[in-house]
Amino acid sequence: MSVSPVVSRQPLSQCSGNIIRSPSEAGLVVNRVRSQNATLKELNLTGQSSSTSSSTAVTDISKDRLYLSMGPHITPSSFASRLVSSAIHCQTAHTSAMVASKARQHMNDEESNLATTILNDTVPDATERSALSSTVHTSNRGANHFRHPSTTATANAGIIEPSQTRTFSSTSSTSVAISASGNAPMVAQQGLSVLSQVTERAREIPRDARDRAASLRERERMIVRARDSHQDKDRALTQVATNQNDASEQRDADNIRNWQRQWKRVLATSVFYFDGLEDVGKDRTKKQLLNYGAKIETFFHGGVTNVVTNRQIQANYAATDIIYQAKQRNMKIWTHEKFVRFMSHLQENPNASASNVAGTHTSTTLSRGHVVASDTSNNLCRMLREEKLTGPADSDPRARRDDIHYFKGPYIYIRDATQIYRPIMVREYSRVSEPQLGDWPQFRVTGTGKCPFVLDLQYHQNRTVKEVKPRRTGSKLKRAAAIEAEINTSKGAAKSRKLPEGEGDSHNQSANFLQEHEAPQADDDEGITEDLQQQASAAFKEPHLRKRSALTPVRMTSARANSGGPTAADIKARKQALSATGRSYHKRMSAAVGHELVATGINMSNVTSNIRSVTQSGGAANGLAAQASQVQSKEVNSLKKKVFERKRRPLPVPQVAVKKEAVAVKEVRPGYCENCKDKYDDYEEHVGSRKHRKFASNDENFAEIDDLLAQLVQPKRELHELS
Amino acid sequence: MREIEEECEQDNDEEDEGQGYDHEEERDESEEAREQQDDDLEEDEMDPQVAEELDSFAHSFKDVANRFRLVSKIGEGTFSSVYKAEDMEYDVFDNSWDLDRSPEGKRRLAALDTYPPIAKRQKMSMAPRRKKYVAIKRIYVTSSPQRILNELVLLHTLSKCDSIAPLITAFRSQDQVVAILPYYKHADYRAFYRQLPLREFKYYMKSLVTALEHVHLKGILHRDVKPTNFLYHPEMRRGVLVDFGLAERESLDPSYCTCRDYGENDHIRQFTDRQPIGGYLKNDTRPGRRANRAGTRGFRAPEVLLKCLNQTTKIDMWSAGVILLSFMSKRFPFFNSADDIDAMIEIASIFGKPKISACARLHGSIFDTNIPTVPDRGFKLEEIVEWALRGVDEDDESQAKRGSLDEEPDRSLAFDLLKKFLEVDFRKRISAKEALRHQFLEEI
Repeated sequence: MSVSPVVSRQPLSQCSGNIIRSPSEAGLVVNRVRSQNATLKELNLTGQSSSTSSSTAVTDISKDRLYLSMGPHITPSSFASRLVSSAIHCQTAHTSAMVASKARQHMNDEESNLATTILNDTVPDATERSALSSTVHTSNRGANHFRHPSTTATANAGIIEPSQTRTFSSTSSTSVAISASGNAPMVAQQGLSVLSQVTERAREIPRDARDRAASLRERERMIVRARDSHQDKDRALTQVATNQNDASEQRDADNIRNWQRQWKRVLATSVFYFDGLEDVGKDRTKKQLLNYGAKIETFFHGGVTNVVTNRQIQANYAATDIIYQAKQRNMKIWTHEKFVRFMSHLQENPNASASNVAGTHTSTTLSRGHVVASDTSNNLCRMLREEKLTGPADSDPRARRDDIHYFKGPYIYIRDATQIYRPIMVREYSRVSEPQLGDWPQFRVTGTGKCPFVLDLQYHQNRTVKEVKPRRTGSKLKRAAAIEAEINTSKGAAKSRKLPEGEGDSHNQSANFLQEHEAPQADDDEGITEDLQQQASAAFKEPHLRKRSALTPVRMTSARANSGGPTAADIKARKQALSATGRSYHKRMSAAVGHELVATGINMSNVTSNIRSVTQSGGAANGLAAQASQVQSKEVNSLKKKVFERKRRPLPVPQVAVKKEAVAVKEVRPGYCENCKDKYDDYEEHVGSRKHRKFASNDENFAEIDDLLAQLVQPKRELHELS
Repeated sequence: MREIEEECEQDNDEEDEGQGYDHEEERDESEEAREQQDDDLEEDEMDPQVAEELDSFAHSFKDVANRFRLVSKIGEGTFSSVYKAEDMEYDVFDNSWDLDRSPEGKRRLAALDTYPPIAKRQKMSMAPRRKKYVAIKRIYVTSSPQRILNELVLLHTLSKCDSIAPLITAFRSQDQVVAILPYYKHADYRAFYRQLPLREFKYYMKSLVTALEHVHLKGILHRDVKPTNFLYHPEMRRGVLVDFGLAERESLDPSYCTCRDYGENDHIRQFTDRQPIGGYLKNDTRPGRRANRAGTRGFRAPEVLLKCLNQTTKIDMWSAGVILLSFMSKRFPFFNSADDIDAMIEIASIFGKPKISACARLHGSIFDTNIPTVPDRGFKLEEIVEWALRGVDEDDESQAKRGSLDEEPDRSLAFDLLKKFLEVDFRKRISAKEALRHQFLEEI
């Protein structure tokens, strides 16, 4: 969760003083806590209405200071998610146990007067806040165990809250979700059951209440925005209007994005002065400001464009007052609270809501309530997903987890920073003694015209005697020299390598080809499968095999180079033979690899990729030779190609004796028909099928094309031109 | 010649999942080039199977058969086959598209930057009785009408640029749509890139960038810029960009990627990342990030590899950079990129971890690798090229050295442009318009 929990350790009495905001400002009604020495029972929600601007649940248990607080500025889209990120900081396990049991008791009684209040979260002392947030973070780990379940409760509670508060005005409190943390697992257990009850209750809230709550929030959020953006007031108002007109969420997200972008542009050239906030040195908002390119001045002067003050804005100021001067110079003046809110809006990911819409979007008449509801469930899903990622947090984060594959060899691992998507790329390679033996792509010196990322054995063999002397023109060539050394080593490796001969090797080759061929089928199977892993680890244990496996791609390449590349028919023949041993890819894999534990390095490399099609142009790519096609679909033009090959150069004598099934294969072209939404094995056959012909003969399907074709008719030459 | 060697995977959300079927086509380029060079011979030598295909095509499409005589098959791709054909009614129609023959075409030709050609176009203008050829692109009937429409519309939109193959006309018969395009004589890139002096290659780049400028001006991404899609005739110093089968309009409102809201200083930004490090989840049920990655391996820009949803015309500029890099280093293909992961490692091996990390962050991802050959500090492209050229074969060596001495000033300009093409941060990457003003290309 992006919002790090913030905990105030101040007594509530102090906090409450701080959260009183001018109710008129930004059209928001801000909740405030009246109770000065709040106890668990006394804490009442006294705000006139919910506000989207804040929701900080504070729980105070008499003398034991326990607060639950949250980031500010909850908008509907992020409301649930932020609630979720709330955490409790408990000083003692005893306290949390107490909270949990009390909570339970109250919930059992169906009484929701358990302390909750919505509190604006501009914690006055940011220094303390940041200091605290780190402690919280640590204590959170302990609390994680049931933080997620609590999500449900809080999130749902969050939804019912606005309508209820509006309905009941200041009469009573709303439901509460408490998550306690601490070291005692027992506490956690108790908390869990409490929370599940809260959840149940929350679910019972009628949908229309939720809808109302949602639309209320939506509108209020818009108002906040409208208020915040003095430049785009008009546009923002339109936003409110469109919002009321039930414009699509996507539109909103775009508007927000536009709004953010415009502001970021403005900020890049802005100069800020913080009035009375000098001590707020570590304020996160300041750091964010700097990130957007804004300047922050320590002293007030004429070049300042924005002033952020911790004071209330008044009608009149003394002429010497900075605010007065700022007003005179048309500087923009922010209250700190508003500024913090603004900054968080600026950082919000509008897509969080947009993507939800995309996910649940079945009709455009989706009511806002539904959207929010799905928001909640999505966020819950997200929390669960996160738990999957981070593991149950009551365990030692350093402990090894069974559900994680830990890298043993060199790897590349590109993961999604938003944590929404699974890793974008993951691949692990066999560990090797020397980097240059690794089977990942490496830049190497090659002969002219050859790809530098494909080991060019021929080149290195030809140059074994002649040592290339590095032209050292300075320190920058040191690296080049290092690579030179690397190449020499790989040359050595290349020399010691045997060219594949005989049966066993053809098996290897088959295995390799299979890996390439079958990769597309294994497409969605994006994890290392067990057998592959076992093979991999077996290879690690066998030093001689390890070396071989590292060299396998080399071998492949060279084999291909020498044989001029296997023809499509060869590949097909091999595949057919192998497919007989088993239907599934994995079975085939093991069958193919069965004889020797080779090529595990490559197995590994097929792992998680989103390989739709893997081809390796291989060593034959000298710019003249044909690149043998290696992917299924390429068998297509095999015959035609072969004819050309025969014509233009002598057929290469393959070193590897592979049985050729000299069968006049009928040219079949497998593929996918976008019109029938069908995969087919044979193009001709599919195109003649009744389904396809039906589509083809319906002119309506091509109406747009026909319109265009009418414009594309080639004009005839004029008569005089002809003569 | 059209050929598509592409790994086309359109992971768009609108796409049906069945689209994921492996589309890939690879054809031997040199074979074709040779095939093209002697069109007299080819008719005698035609493979029976191809002949059969031509026959059945002609038979099924009378409109085409009445006007065109199919000569040979010159390309085959994922979504189409391309045939060479003689236009029997050339004289009946207005052929203002024809730069070499029509009066208007000649006027336009004279205005071209790269004009006049090195060699005289003796054959073309001197022989009035010479057969007039066109290229017929037969779009497979399994392509959706939307896809076909997209390509035709884009081609039609772009017809006005002389560096882009114009759409002469198009026909439909039931589900079969064919596009009639000019037939271009050209040389295979592999046949000339090692010999062509840098000074001459400028014309190649200029012609290519001119085409891209036009495409981008119209807000279109070609998506598949590579030598095989840029038909260049070295003697005539003329090239045309072909194959808009994967092209798309730059979205006015692209989907969200963090790179859209990325401030200049955001490289400081750190993500809260609680995903496992040092390992990955075995059963990760999260959805994969999906983006249009259509294009050709080895030519994909880093943002495409990172599945950015906000892809811009700059992806084509990267591809142009890869071509220039390939030329400078005399290595083709330069990137092997068996798949996107390999592609990423290859790029990272050159540009180093910090740059790639920053680029990944720009697109909302975290780059993490311990592959020992991925350097902590990137290499200069000069180093890379120098290094690659060290492997020049004995025969070529002296020639390459000689060439590089004369070309020194040009070379440093070329490297400067190359660096700007191969900028991993697409926002800083040079646009086609800017590239045309770059000294290396401007000087022509």
